[in-house]
Amino acid sequence: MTSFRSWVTTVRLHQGATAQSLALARVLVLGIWVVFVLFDPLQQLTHLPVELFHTYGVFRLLPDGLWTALLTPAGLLGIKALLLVVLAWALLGFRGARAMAVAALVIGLIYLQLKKGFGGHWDHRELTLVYVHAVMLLTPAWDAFAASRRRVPARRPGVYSASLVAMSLIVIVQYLFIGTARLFIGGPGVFMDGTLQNWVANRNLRPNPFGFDLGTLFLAPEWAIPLDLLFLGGTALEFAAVALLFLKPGWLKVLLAIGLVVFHGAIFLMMNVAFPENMVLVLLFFDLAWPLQRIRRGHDSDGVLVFDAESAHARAIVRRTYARDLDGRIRFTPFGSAAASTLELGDAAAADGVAFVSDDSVTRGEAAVTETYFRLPGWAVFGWLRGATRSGDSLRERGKVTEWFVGPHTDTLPAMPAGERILD
Amino acid sequence: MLRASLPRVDSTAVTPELVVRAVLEVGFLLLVIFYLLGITDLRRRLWPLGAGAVAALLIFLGAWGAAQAVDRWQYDYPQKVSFLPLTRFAMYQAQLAESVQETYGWQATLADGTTREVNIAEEFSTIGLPPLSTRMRVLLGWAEGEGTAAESDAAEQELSLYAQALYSSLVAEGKDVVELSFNRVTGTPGDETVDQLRSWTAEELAR
Repeated sequence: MTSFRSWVTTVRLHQGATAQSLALARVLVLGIWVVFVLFDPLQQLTHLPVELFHTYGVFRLLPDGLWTALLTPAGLLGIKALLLVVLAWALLGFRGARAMAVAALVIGLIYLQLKKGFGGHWDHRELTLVYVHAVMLLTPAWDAFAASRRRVPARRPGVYSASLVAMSLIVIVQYLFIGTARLFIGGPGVFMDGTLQNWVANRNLRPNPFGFDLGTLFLAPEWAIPLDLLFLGGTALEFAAVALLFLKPGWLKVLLAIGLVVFHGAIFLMMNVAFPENMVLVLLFFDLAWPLQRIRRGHDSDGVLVFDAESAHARAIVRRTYARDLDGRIRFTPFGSAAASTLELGDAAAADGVAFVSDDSVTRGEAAVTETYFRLPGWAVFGWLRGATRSGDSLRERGKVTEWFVGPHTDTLPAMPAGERILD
Repeated sequence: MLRASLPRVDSTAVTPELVVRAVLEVGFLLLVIFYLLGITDLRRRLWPLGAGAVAALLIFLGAWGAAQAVDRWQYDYPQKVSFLPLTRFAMYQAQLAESVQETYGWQATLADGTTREVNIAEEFSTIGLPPLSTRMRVLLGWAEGEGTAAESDAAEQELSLYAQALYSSLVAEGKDVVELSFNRVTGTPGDETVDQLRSWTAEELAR
């Protein structure tokens, strides 16, 4: 049984995370950005006189001319389009994706300043996303699910797990900061005397863009204490977010995450204050590759592709597999080799063309090809982009520009495996 | 609705009580940080990122923590001090009387003589509700004469500019506006009291 000391000192979050787990976290973070920018009615700012615009913090260092130029219909459309392009580029993982992610962060901050400059302050709604984005730049987040991928260099063991812990830590620290501020600056009075009810009443009185009036159902005096307790519970939940570092995957962790989402949801529905980005960021506490691993269960172990060296078809399969097996999960050996004779091949023989031998199973022929391709990284769409479904001299059809975006062409007779990847 | 016994905190006042509370807050955060980095295996778990990345992460967290500790002005307008893109993360940390006793509202009189609420938070939803509300709350206070003469003048000027913006937005929507007003709203939802503080005619607002 795990001792209490071990329970509270061992960080269990994201143990066993893979390159795919981190890559999907990247897709999540940049995906939130894309949705945020895509549906943001930025052009509303064209109605606001520039005299109302204020810069804050480091943005005061930027020249006034930049803001004047951006606060025009063309400027606003331009920065929105530019931000969407760099975000999509980084999300899809085209060549130079990390540099694009850096650009997205810088342009994103300028974009936010444009909006907040017409308000009284920068709220932290989008800043958690910004900080997680910034930390993501320190990680190998493009090692999987990227349109353009070179062979992954040798990484330190645990780097994907460390990356996800670092990104999740930002979300945890955010909750810790907010809960601590409330407890120490406002407590205990802020949890008493119907304080939350006062806020609920006021937030339903002031103009808001959503129009939820659920909070008005809780303005009767008898709701004051339940709302105070709800507020205290929500604050306790913010402190409890630290426990997410130590919890194993399981119902307790799921319930805590659901609690945080419900807390945000309650504030949204009762007070019309929306934090949708933070609600989605709670997903960072989970291994987003888990559904894929579940689907691949029983078909995910490394293995050996045994092939008929005399068959052109089998050699083509070997070449393609070798070219796309960027994680180096598959070894190769011809039928009849010494290495093949040590494998439990069952009924598989050279007549099958290829056989795939793994801890999970032995398959042959087309089934072996399926098993092999199942282990290759990337999405089908990126496989298609890289030319997975093409053959022959499609290099000319695709063109140099596309190749620059998605990486080297792999279908014009890729090399046969060599070195330690081939078993003698 | 608002209870008289509520604790009130001035958003800009640095009182001895606030200093003590802030010191306790920072002390607690330092304890948690010491626990996470010194007692748990968090450092070991982060180490595979590499020394440079871990150093960058810790420097960022340190800077963010410093902003959290010293930034007491993030809800002020205009902000004299700002550490952006780092800021203090706090919401509903203490109840400001002015943030619950009243709120603001805009109203338009149309050419057919009818009046309608103008939802500035919807017309300019891109700004974000909390930042917009902070500015409106401050302008409401200044317009009510709570500030200095200079602040009252600033409110006059800024509210006039917001009125122009709203007019422009409403005209773009095809509304025939003849007058816009900025109001103080008190009471409870469904039982509001609206007091007009400023108004502008269409001629004044047409730019």
